[in-house]
Amino acid sequence: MARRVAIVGIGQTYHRSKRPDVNIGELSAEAVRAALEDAEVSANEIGAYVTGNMELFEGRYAQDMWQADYIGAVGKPGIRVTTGGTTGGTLASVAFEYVASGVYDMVMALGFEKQSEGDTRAGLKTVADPLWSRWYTTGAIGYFASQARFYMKQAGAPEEAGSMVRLRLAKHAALNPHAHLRLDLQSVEQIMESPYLIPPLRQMDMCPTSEGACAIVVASEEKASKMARKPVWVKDWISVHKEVVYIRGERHSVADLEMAAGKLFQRNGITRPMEEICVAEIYGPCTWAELEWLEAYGFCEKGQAWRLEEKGQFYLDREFPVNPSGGVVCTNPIGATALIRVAEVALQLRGGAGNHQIARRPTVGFSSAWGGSGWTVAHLLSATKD
Amino acid sequence: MRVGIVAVAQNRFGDYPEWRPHELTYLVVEDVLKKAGLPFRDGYDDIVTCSSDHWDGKTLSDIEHGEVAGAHLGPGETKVSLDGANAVLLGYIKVLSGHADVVLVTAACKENQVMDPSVIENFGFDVPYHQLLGLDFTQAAALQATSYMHKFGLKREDFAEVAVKGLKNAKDNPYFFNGGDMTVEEVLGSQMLSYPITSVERRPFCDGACALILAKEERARELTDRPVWIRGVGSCYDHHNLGDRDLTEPAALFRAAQDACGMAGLKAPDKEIDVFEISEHYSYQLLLWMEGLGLCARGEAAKLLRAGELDRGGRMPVNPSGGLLGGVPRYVAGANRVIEAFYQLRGEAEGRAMPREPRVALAHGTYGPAGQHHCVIILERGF
Amino acid sequence: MMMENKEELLQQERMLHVRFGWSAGPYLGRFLAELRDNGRLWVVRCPGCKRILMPPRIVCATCYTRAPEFPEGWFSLSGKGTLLDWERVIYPQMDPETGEIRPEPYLHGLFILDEGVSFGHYLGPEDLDEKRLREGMKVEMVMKAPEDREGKLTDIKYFRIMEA
Repeated sequence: MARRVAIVGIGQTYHRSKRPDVNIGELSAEAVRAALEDAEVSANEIGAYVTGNMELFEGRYAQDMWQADYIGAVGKPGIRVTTGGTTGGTLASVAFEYVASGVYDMVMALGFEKQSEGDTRAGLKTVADPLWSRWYTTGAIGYFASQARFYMKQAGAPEEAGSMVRLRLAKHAALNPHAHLRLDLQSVEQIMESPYLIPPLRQMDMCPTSEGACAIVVASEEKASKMARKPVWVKDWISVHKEVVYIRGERHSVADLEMAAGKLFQRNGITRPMEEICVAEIYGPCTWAELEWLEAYGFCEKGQAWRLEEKGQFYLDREFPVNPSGGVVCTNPIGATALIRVAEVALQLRGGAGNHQIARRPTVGFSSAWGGSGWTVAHLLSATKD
Repeated sequence: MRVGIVAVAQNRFGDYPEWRPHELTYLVVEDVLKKAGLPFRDGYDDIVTCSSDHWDGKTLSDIEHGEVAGAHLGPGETKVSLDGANAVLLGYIKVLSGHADVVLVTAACKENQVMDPSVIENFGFDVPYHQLLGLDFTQAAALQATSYMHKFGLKREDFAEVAVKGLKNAKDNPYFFNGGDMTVEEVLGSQMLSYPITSVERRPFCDGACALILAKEERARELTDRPVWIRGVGSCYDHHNLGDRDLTEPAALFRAAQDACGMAGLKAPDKEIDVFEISEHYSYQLLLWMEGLGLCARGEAAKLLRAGELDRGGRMPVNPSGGLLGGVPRYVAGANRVIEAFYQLRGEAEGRAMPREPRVALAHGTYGPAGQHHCVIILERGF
Repeated sequence: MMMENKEELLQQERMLHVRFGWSAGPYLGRFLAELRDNGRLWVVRCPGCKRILMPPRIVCATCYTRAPEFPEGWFSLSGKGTLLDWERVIYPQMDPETGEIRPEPYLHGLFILDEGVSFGHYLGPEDLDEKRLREGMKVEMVMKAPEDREGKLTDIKYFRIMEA
């Protein structure tokens, strides 16, 4: 890249199912102010704003226009980038590019969603082509129910596997004050009592709709080096898309995940990802997705993820912490969700995750975003510049 | 490091009931790749699309647009949901960042499939606040137009003159369908939309797509011996609430132009830039944006227009293409301005070329109520 | 006049009602017309990689060859296939055309048609016992009566299990 960039500020709201006490602009402003405070910079020092969310979800239009005043973008350069579920990831990538280009020295990326204000199901249904599958689509839930069935078969996983993931995420979220769902779950058996949405997918397997915002401040190497707080360096980022044919051959394809992680690791000399990467915040819209996708990213062999889960290896005090924040299954304000992954990895790398800080000292972190018709955006962050 | 535009393509904008939005994108992508001599997918490292989920009527409208642009298991894709000039800006940033050597930029919109554009625009106003006033972009523009008229003693005839000249220029543009010969009286006599804006004075809603290939300098020189460099970019947001702004002061445009000209090393845009392709969604905007770009004193643009200084052969050619009144869809608009500027700089502006060979061009895009957001791009001939 | 010292959280409601007239285009448009008029699934084979494009579309996203418009390279599928997967939809689903919630539960099926493409649709009839379903069962398309067809995918009524 043309010049190195670093994340120097992180802010997010306390994600909830509803925030009737704020309007969307105020919600975003909370995250923006938190990021500015964290970075110890004033709004004046932000050179540009990169914002995004799910365009249709709140039933509003041109959200960047009426939010400009709330977030400090008035009188400043800015752009609006919206790529569905991967939006937060794309926001981070674009912010990195803005700074790496040399045109801007400090950029704020903001993702937000206030889903109770709109009709999320209606919004999600419109992903489907209006003339093809829109009449039929059961949205994300149908997709992931099908994925769960496939993983169980392919990996020989018991139905409990999903609940094991859920237990880990609940334990992690309990330590993360920003997480939305912080349920007091104690056992796999307890989670297995959760009602089905579409079998075998249970209510607890699936991510919620949350209201929240996340913002990061990205700075050039020169600026970052002068800042009081330890910057988190950006190593690389990638975006891989897939044709909108969900079933290839006979099954869901994970080609985008494989390619994104594969290329990212190869470009950065990572050959044993589970050993060389210290922490992963992966985008898992449901518990089963975490299992299938940990394999697809190449962290472990096909069919192995649930066995490692069963052994507890993905807990934050164990060998390979996955989603120490509680993940998407505990917190999902869609426009912000993928950016939260980046933010949480950054928090871990600078030792700032408080109670949900992983046990081992991390040097390299991986974050991912998923959405669209099977798209993956992924980032590699590092605690050191090299 | 310089970034160049090496090839462009656009539909003839108009009414396309026979095609879906992404099929229009495909037609221009096929065309631009052929012109650039690049294979699909492997020929570029990234894709920036520009479309609106609202106007396409589907969440993630970039699924389809990205697919026909070759995103599948290849360059990936990023969607800009702001005026198309910003997609060009992002493409430029991506190359400059070193993260991509070649970027494909597309923009597409089928306005004719949307029966209720005013409803969508209305929901772009702050919903708990003045959305209830029933404002849409045309009414916001009308407020700006009347403020502008009153402040500088301008007349409706001044704005109508913009339409007369614009439509006349558009006749020569093979991509524009709305060209024609009209008199000031005919313009003023056309259907009133929102005082003082008549139907002829608003950019006609239509369908279309466009595409550009951007490349870093070494690669650009391999792909063409006639590159057009992007020398500077700028963008800026103004306040949202109409009452928070002095509508006669396009402050955001001024800032965006300053940034772009500063990057390009230009100190006197009115002297150092040879041609301007700007986004006048409404006739009065041509004059107001010119002043916001610093091309003349406040309130004076109308005089320059009357004196012929903005004609193709004039001192400061503005919209020799015919401008947006010639018929360009929203979202595509700003990208089309870049493309028209590209054609002028390369001497390829068929039928609508300015007589003097231009060296430096300014392209401009805007979106939001009464030009809340502006984007300015400075281009320079690289041969 | 003093305001009551109670925090009232105001909310405003709106219904966003936006109409669209989506063009089907020459590819999907032909598919839907054939479905309506002849009760058949007409698809096109990609001239480049030879895979079947369903739904028919202007360009193949993988090999990027432009597909010819009807009738060159187009052919009709048998409407028969095997059952790959199914789900009993319990979670309330909205009908995107009416905004109404569909009565549930109902069965969705995912099929691999004999020609190799995947397709999803209802499994019927209504009294179909889910417990009978097995992966690999043979299925076939059942169309609505010609007078009830509109040029939409719902012109297909459902897929039914073909008895041995």
